[in-house]
Amino acid sequence: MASEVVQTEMKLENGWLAWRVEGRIDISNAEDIYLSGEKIVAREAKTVLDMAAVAYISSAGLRVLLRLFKKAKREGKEFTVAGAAGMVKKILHDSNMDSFLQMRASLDEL
Amino acid sequence: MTDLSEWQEYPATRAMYETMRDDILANAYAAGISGEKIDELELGVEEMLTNIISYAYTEAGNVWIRARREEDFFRLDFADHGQPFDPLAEDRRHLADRSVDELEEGGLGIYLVRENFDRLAYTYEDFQGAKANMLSLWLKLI
Repeated sequence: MASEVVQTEMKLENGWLAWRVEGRIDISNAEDIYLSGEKIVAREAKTVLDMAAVAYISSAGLRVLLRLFKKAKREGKEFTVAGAAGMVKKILHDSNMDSFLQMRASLDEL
Repeated sequence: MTDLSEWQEYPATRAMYETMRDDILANAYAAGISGEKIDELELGVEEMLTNIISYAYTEAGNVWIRARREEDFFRLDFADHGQPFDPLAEDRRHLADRSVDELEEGGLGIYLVRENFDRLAYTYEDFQGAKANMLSLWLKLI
């Protein structure tokens, strides 16, 4: 059974689309989360994945972030992440993803 | 809880992934692992099982799992009769030295496993009547 996530979207005043994911990102749901993100990135010029409520991310989840980052770059758009904490923040740092994604501590830093 | 102190055999299929993961984590909790250590353990479980499920066999096959306390460590063992493959022989460069394209191709998972586990070992040897990929991971309990 796929890990359950809750996804919401909110347009920020600065033009960024905040895509909030709550729950875990692992092998069971990574592809579904990618497909959601793919649609958002296709539609928006600037997308930030709000990870404040992401409790766990595996390498499958990291590959989702990489794929979305590359898609945004190919299309001349922006994709970044914000709010990662605890284990998720550590994983993003250990994997060097924070340097690619220019990770922000919170949405306020955009 | 399925006791994994002795080898337990499972079909190496995607449908069985959550069962295998949950069995391993239940044994880890029983051994006293909790909190962030469980997350570190799960990273390794997901990476190793995903590799075996996805790449070990061209047709149906099984994976054997053992998970038990060994002195100050929690030891996790995987065995499969798939094609010979050493996951520890992959690119050892630091991730900072790799491009985005190289990262997407692979290596993220095993890099995280190396970062989070205290010891890793791989052999290709006789097991249950045939040559097998044998992978062991050790996670310090304290």
